[in-house]
Amino acid sequence: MTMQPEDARQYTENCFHGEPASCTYACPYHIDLRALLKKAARGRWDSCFKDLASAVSFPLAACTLCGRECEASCQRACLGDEPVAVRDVELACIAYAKTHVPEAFSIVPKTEKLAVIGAGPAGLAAAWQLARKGYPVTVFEKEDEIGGSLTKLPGAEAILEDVRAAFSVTPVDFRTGVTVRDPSEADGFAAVVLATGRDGSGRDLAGTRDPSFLTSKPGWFAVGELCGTDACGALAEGNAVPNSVEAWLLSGSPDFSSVVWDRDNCSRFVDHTGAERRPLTLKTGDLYTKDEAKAEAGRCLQCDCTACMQACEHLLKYKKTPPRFTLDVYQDSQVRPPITSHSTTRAVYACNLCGRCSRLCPEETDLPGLFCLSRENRMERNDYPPAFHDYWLRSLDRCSSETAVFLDGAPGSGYAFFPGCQLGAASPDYVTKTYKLLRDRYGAGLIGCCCGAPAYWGGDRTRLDRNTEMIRSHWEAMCRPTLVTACASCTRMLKKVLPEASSVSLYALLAAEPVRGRFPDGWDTVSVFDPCAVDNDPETLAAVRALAGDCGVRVSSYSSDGKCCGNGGHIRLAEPDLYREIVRKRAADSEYPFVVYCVNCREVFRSQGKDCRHILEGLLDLDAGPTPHLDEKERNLMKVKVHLLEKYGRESFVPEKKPWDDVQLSVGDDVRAGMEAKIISDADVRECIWNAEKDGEGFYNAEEDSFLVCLVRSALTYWVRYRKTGGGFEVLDAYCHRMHFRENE
Amino acid sequence: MATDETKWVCRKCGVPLVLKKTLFNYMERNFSEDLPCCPKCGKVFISPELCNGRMAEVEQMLEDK
Repeated sequence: MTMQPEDARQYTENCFHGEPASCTYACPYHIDLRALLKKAARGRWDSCFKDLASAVSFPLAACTLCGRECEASCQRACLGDEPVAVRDVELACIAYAKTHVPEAFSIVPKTEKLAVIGAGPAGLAAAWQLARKGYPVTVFEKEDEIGGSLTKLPGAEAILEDVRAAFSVTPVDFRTGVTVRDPSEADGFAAVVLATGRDGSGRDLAGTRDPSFLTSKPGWFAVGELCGTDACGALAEGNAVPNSVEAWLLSGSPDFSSVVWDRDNCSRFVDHTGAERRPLTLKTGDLYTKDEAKAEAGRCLQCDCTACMQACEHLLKYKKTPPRFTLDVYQDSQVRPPITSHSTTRAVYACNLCGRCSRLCPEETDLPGLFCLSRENRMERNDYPPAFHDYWLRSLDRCSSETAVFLDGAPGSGYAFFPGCQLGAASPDYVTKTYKLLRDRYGAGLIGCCCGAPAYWGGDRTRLDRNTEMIRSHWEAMCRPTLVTACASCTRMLKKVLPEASSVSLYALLAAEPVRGRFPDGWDTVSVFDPCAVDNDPETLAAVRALAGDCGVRVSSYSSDGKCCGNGGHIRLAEPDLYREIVRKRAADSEYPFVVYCVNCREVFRSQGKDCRHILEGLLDLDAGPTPHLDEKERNLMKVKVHLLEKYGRESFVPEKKPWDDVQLSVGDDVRAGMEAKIISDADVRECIWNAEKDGEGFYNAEEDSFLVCLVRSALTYWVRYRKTGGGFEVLDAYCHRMHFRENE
Repeated sequence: MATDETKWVCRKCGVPLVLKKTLFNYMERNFSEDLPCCPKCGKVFISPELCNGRMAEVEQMLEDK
């Protein structure tokens, strides 16, 4: 199905990264205070003055008029601090700027003549901003002097001096002492801004204006005190109306202007937990000194939410914001290679999908959901790198067919053990011993197949649905038992695909009637590394810690806080560098040995040489030993099936043999390491050799007395170099590539 | 060197390999390269150096596109 922009947008629509901060929303002039205070903290007074002038036209007037609304919205208050004294910093910027004469821009003059009626705060700001855009502007003012209500402000002389300085480089045609009585007097102007002040003329017309200030009379805009605002609002509207005027001149509609803010006040605050508290900088005189102003500006927290980006190696690496990813995911769904290119392929497949970012996000932005949507969409369109997930998808197929095992429980037992595919692969004892315990205690049945997570992670909806239907049919045939899950990823997956099935964590169940166990290592203190998929479920977290205690060890206060060990999302082939970085960091996260309750975490940590045990090793008094290699994993799963069916099944089971199962291999350690890194299993190598030997295919090297043969699969092409030994084959090398080649005819 | 293509012959045809233009395809892109092949049956020889080097590089590049 074609992706629509809103399909992608729904995952991140509430993300407010990069949006103006709460102070800017509150500011009547919507000044970018974050940027301003950053510059002020570095003492860049001239630049600050320029920015202020661009935003408000006349900085001194703006500061005098504003009610310090920004300070009421300053997020320093979240820490219990005084808000940043923004206006005092602004006044310092104005005072310390070398000149109040703004820069003159060389821009191509526009031809449309514009009129502004009224030279109060709104009219002057509108005239100045329009003139800066290059329009010839004529200002009509009934009084002999410009200024309107600005002339009544305290310090009016300095304010008006600033106004005159502004117009000195951006001249407009001031017609003072002229009263415009009849709109026809403004004929010949392409647009007119009506800003006649509190008791000015044109009140009826002003009453018809829309949110972009356009009145019912085409080309006539009304702003300022005439429309009921105070002088501060008048200055703000005068600064905003030029955008509407220009949009109207260019398009015939002011709707394309950006003067309307979607909300007046933003209440979405950044999480400032842990930010340093800093007291208000006190003034030693009427005005901040330069150092005081810099110090005060430095108190700005630069509020912008980066909660997810700071907490995730993936987001730190790709340096893209959630809205940017959303745009890229949508754009990639429209790509037609080789004519157009993708912009975010690897990033989509490099996410662990652990969901920690969503938990840290104040608005529950769902980047894993977005990446899964993209993976699914790309697979549907057959526009994806198949090698990234091929191994795990084929492994799912085996786990849910050849090695799948289902056992009915005792009549009336409400439980079925769902060990997941990796537990038995890591060591058959994990499953067989745990099942014996559950069977003895609860008469539990067993659903021994894959939960479907590899298909979900690979974006393979068809496989996932097929797998779910298989689980559902067995679960229903067993009278809908509560699923006892040993793996948090299975729990999470089953909740998603089979929400009608209730589940309980194996560890919570075991903790209810603890088994007294022990770890074989003589450990004193350990850290529990909770798998990311447990979603900080307090019951499971507490149960595993209690069980670890029952095994005679002290549990440290360490918390993995939802971080993924690195295995999640199967990123290992898509982004090997990031994978390595994550697993290295995680293994070094705690000084104590890790107790885990996900065998994938165990495998990851062991690969880094980290002392690590699965909680079941302690509880069941078993030593699962080193991580088995790929081939052993496959054989272990079959061992589990054979054992369980022999012991609890109704009929005997003989595994079906593949023709290449009898191919005897000898694999040296170096070759083995290479195969594991590329995820080439012995079964792949056997099939490759068996095929070649059957047909006499491949290449021969007489000097080395070796053969090189290949096996082409849809995602990968495997090459094996081997030597025949008495009755078997010595594997000298094995490698694979993702691209396809066409043999010459 | 064990993977030097001059040391290899096609197992079926028993002849040394020659360089021939070979077509490749990955991620909807096509390209070609001169590779050692059997001059008789056309079987293509890919060494580990090529596979783990240039080919892996191109694969990575195309996956990023």
